[in-house]
Amino acid sequence: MIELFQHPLARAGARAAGIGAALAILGAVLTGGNAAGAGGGRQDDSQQAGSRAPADAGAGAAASALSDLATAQDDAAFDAGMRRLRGLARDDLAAFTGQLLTFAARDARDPRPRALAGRVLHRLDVSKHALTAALVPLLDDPNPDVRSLARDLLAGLEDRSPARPPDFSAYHALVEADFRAGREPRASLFRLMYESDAGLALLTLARASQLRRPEELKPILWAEHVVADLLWKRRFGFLPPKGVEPAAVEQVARMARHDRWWARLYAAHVLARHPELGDAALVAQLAADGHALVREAIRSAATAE
Amino acid sequence: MDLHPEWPNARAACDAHQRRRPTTVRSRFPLLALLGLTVALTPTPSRAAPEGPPCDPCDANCDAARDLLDLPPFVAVLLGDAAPCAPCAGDVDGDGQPTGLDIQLFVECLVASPRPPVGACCAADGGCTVTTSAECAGLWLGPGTTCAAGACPAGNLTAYRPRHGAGYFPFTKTAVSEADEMSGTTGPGIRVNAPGDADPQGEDDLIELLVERSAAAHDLALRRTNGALRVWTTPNKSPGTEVPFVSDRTDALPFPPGGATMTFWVEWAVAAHGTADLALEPLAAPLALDTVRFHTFRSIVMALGGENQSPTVPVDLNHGTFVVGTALYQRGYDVHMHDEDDVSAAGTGAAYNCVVDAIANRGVDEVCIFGYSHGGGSTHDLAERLDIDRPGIGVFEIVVTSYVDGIENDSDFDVTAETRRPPSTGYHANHYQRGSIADVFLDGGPVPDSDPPPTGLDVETTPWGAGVTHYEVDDLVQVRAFIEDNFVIRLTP
Repeated sequence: MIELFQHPLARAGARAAGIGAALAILGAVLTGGNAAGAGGGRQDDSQQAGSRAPADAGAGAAASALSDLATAQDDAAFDAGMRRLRGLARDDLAAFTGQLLTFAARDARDPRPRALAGRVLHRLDVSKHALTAALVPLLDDPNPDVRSLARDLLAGLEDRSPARPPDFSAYHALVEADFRAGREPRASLFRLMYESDAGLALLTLARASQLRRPEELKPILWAEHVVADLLWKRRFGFLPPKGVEPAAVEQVARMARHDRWWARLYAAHVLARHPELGDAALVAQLAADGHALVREAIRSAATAE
Repeated sequence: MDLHPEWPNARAACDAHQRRRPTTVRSRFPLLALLGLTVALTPTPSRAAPEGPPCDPCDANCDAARDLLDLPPFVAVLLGDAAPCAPCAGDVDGDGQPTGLDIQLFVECLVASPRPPVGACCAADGGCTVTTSAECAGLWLGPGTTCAAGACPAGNLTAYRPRHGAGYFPFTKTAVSEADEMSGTTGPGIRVNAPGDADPQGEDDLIELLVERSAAAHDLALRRTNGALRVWTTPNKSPGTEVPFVSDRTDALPFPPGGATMTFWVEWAVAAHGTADLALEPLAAPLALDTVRFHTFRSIVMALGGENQSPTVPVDLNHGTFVVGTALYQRGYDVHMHDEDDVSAAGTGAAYNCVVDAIANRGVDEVCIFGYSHGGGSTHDLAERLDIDRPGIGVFEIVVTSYVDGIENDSDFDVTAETRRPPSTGYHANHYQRGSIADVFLDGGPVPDSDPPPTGLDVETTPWGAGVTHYEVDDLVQVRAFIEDNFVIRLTP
C-alpha cells in the first residue's frame, strides 16, 4: 500500500515557493471581500424548517477558520483548522455551508478555493442527506455565484454516472416534508430536479406528494415508462436518434393535461428537449399554463420551434 | 542556302543522301517516279526568291517536320493544285521553283533522318533542356523556345490541418510541411464528409489548399487519383463553387486575372476510407509540379483540460493537456480540445456528441481520450458512456487513454482521486503525484493495468518529478512526451 501522505517538511526545499504562492492566493481570497454569510434565507419565510440566516458571529468564525486552514503550514495546523470547522458545521451546518460556498465563490477564475472547500467537505464527511438539506436553500441565495455552486455541489451529490441514474432520495425527503407540512416545495429545487432528470423527478414527486390511490399513481408511472422506453430505444439504436413512437407522444400529451402541475412540468421538460414528441398546440397550451415553472420550462421548446 | 538556323546546311545533307541507291527510293515511290517524268514536262510558274525567315523546302506542309505528311502538299504544289505554304516549299534544288527536278531530292529528304525542331523542355523537377518534342519527357514549349528564366511553369500546393467551425480555433492555422505532404500518416488528414455528417458549427470538414504558380502565363490544372476528392472554391460548398473534374482532371484553375495564388477547399466526399493524391500540373501536359497526399482520419482525439482550463490560442504552456493536444494536431491527428465541463457526470455533453458523430457519420473507429485533474475524471466518464452506448453508436475502439493526476469529476468540488481504469480502453497511461497542503491534497493515484506498469507512475519517485504539485504535474515535459510518444505508436491518424 502506498502511503498517501508524507510530512511536508520532508519536501520543504523544492516546494517552498509553491506552497508560499498557493497560500498567498488563498490568504488574499480570504482576507478580501465580504465575509458576511450568504446564508440559507429563502424568499418565503414559511418554508422548510432547519434553514436560517447565519449569525454574524458564526459567519466570522467560519471565515476565520477557513483562513487559518488556507494558511496552515503543516498537517497539524491543517488538522486543527479542520477541527474548528467541524465544530462550526456541527453547530449549524446550513450557515456553515453558506459560508463555505461564499468563500469558494470569491474568484471564479481560481479553482483553488473550490478545491479547498471540496477538501473540507470531504474531511467533514457530512451525510449526503444533511448536506443536501443545507445546500438546497442556497439555490435561492442572493449571490448568483453561490447559487451556481450550490447547484454544482448538489449535482455531485446525486452521484450519477454513465452507468446509473441520479439518486434523488435526499430531494425526496425534503419535498415530502414540505408536502406533509402543507408547504409549497421550493421552486428552485423542482427546477434542479427536472433539469437533472425529468422522469425521475416526476416519479419522485408522485411519491413525495403523498398520492396513494393506484388509479392516480399508475397513469403517471406508465407515462414515464413509455417515454423512458422511447429514449432508451434511441440511445441503444433500436430507433433512429429522432425516432418517434405514437405511444410516447400520447403519454406526453396526457401529462400535459394532468391536473397536477408537477406532471405538466414533466411534459414541458420533455418537450423542451424533444419537441418532436409534441406539436405547436401542446406547446401553446403549456405556455399558457397556470404554474410559472411550467411556463418557464416550455419557453425553451417554443424557442426551438 | 541555309534552310534553318539550327540545322546543318540542308543541301549538304541532301547531297550526302544522294549517295544512297536512288533505285531503292524510286521503287518505294513509283508514283513519284511517274510524277517526276510528268512534272518535268509541265512548266510551273517561276517564283521570287524566298524572303523572311529561313525556309525548309522539304517541309511541304510547314509543320516544322519532314515526314510523309509533306508528300500530298508537295505533289499538289508540283501539279499546281495548291500554292506552296512557304516560299521555298517544294523547291528542294533551290532553283526558284518546284519542278520535277526536285522530286528526287524531296524523296531523299524524306528518307533521310528527319531533324525535327527543338525547343525548351520543362521537367517536373523544375529543370529545363532544349530538345525535340519526341525526346521531351516533360512539357515541350514548342519549336524555337528557350530555357529562359520563367519559361517553364512552376507551382506549389500547400495543404493545411483541419478546421473547427468557421476557423482553426483552438489551433493556429497550420500548414502541412513539404516533408510531410506525401505521407499517409503525417500528411494532410481529411475527415470523411459523406452525407449525414453533423457539423454543429457549420461545414468544417474541407481542407484548405493553397495553390501558387510562378507566372500567370501558364494555365494550371489539378489531377486527382481518387474520385472521392472534390475541390471547391468556398469552404462551405456554396452552390456553383465546385471545380469540376473530367477524367480526374480539372480544366484551367480559375485564378484571378494575373493572380499567383488561389485558395481551394478539398473534400473527401465518400464514406469509404482511403488515400488520394492531388497533383498540380500545367494544363498543357501531365507534368506534376507538386503533389499532396490526403488520408482520411480513422481516429479522433479528445483532450480534456483541468478545472478552469479552456483551450486558447496560442496554447497556454501551463495547460499540459492542450500542449499535447496541439502537438498531436500538428502531427496529423484530428484533435478536439474541450473544457472538462463539456463532459457531464453521466458522460454526456458536447464531447460525447463530437465522438458519436465522428463514429456514426465519418467512419472513425479509433478513439483517444486523455485529461488532467478533473479532465481525467471526465476521461473516465466519457469512456464509460461511449462503452455503454455502443449498440446505438457503431463499431469503434477506445485505443488509448491517459490520466495526469486524475480527479473524479462529479462536481467542481470533487476531490476524489480518479483510480478507475477507463472502461474498454486498449492502453492507459497514468501519471500522478502525492498531494500536500500546497495543492490541498489533490492527487491522482494508481490505476490498475496502466503504463508505466503496473499502475502508472508516481512522478515524485523520479528525479524530475520530486516535489511537483498537482498544479505542475501536467506541465512536466517527461509526462507530456510519454503520453504523446505512446499515443502515436498506437493510434492511427
